[in-house]
Amino acid sequence: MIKKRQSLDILPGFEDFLRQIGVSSFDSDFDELLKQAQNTMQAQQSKGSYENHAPHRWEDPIIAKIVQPGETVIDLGCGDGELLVRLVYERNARVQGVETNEDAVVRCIERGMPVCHEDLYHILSVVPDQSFSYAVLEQTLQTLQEPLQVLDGMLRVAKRSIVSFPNFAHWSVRLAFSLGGRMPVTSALPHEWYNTPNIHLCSITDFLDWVNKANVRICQAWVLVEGKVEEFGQPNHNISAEQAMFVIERKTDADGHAGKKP
Amino acid sequence: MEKTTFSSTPKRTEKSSNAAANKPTTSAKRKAYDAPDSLRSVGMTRPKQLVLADEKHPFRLDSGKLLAPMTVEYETYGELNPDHSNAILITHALSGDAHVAGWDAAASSSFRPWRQKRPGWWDDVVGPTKAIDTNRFFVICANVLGSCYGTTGPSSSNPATGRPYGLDFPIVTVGDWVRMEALLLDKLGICQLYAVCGGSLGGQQALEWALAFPDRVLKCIVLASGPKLPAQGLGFNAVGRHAIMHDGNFNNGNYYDKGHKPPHEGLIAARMLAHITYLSGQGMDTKFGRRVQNEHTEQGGFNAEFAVESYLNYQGRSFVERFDANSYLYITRAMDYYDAAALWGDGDLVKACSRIRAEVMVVSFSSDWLYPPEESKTFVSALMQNRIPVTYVKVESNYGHDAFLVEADKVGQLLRAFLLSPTIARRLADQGKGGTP
Repeated sequence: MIKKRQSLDILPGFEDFLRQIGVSSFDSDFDELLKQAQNTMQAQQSKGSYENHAPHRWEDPIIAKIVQPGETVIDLGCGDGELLVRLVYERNARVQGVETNEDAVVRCIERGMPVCHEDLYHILSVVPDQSFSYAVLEQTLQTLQEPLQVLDGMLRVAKRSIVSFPNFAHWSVRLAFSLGGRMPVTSALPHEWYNTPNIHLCSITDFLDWVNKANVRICQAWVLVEGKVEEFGQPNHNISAEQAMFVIERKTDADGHAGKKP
Repeated sequence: MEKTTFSSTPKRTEKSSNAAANKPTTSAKRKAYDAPDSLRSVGMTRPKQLVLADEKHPFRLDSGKLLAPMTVEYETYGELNPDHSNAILITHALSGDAHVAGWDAAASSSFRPWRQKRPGWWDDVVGPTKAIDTNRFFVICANVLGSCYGTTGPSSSNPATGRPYGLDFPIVTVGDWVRMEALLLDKLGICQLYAVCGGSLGGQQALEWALAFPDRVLKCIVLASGPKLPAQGLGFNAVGRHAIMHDGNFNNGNYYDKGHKPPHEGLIAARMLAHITYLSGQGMDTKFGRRVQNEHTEQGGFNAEFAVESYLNYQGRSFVERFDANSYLYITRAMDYYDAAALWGDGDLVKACSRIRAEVMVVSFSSDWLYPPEESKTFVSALMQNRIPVTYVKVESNYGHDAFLVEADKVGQLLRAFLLSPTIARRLADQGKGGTP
């Protein structure tokens, strides 16, 4: 992932200085960031204003395609059960929801979706290994007190896990913070610093760093760029993507690794 | 992650409208009962009785003993549909009866007079257009074996002696109750229940139904209950029974003869203690605090002075007018003995729950210390470990164990949602397990 701008070499010692202040790797350069902002600005100029709202639950149609008929899914933070209903009706999936909001729980029950009014940590502690085909965590990772504990739990209880989150390295976030000097408030991160539920935000690159460390393999990944879904893979996605969704699984011995991480 | 809590503004905090002289003034006003001619009431009801076992075909109890005759008192509301697919069995709790809703037409000043003053025990929830909608469902409730409301129990006549059984009545279990209810359903022509639903001891029956007759139940609702009574509850029951059995009038359970006084003081003490376990500490503080009902005399003394004393006295005294001490012994024992894990899984609840094929909804109440939420959770966990889809809701409430009755609006909302929801999950669960039996 490390890819640095050539111009860094023009300023002697600047790279070392950046390392000293905590910048340990460069996923992209400043030109790229400005180019992205400029492109978006030009594209949006005809509309008169910049709007970049993610389609409501953009992950759901993709998940409904990934899940095969008859497979089992646990949706952690299932809300009012929208994804569950879709999976049951479209894919004949066997589903289990988990949700802490009580009104949402009642809505799930009305729709006939089995739901546990319980926190994720407790549920993940009681579900046995590999009980589900998929564990889903939509737009919740960044709100968790212990995100890694939940990711590990998901990888344990399901063969594959689907995780989506807002990309904190999106160019709008970068500009809002570096030029505005304030905590960024964007369409993907609509909260003020004092009322945000997001306590563990990460960028796509941060997530990939964890993937590399955690003995995890990415099966498939998608990003949302200017409201449109793309398959993940472009080098500048950590700048251009507002949101990301990864399908991950534990690496097995067959992958040529020494074994599972303890 | 915003947390919305269920509004806990129940209309009823005092279960009786009995205007007895010593009625505590602390009782809050409850909403008016639905009158028998109300469109929301099942109206006037009549208890029904059926003989389910006789000398020729006695009923075999879990203890191995044979019971004959065995009569069951039950009530039904609504209409059974042509394909008999809309039946809901409601299972009652310790001191409950088959009179779930409506007004008992058979009650009189000499026969069950307390039923003249109030409708059935779950009238808030059961009736036309209510959460358990009798326009849609055929609702059945049977009085349990060992009780004193029409079903055979210790106060019934022992055919061997021609006198009431007393303590010669055999020990009965939750399993016996469920098999008796199954017999009743056979007689009513109901092969499969759309749902079974109960709270507390009734919740244990609902659970036992899903375990003992997995293919006869589509939906199972367990409120404020669990697969076993925790040690604390065993302890409370022991104290209650001790009070009854050491009452000077107990006479080894033979107190039914004319001229013999029943062990009322013991039963009052048992009921007072039990009532504390149905509330929560915080709920009692809110309701009574240290408020004084009767002024302290200057010297002080031991008459009921605090509002809470007066309330418990009142609950105890009104209870003995309607309940039999021996029945209290038998039913609390059945509650003690029930252990789903031991019955169906050799002590392993996960193994036991592998039998369940019903869609299950478990509801616990945050301040319930008789069947605390942790107890419900062991059941939910056991289902999850069997990969059985399950619905679980923890309702925030200060009303303790009683919340399952008091929080009628909240509970009603959950019941309505669960009962009317499509049974997709069930169908898919069957597919996942490789077809229906």
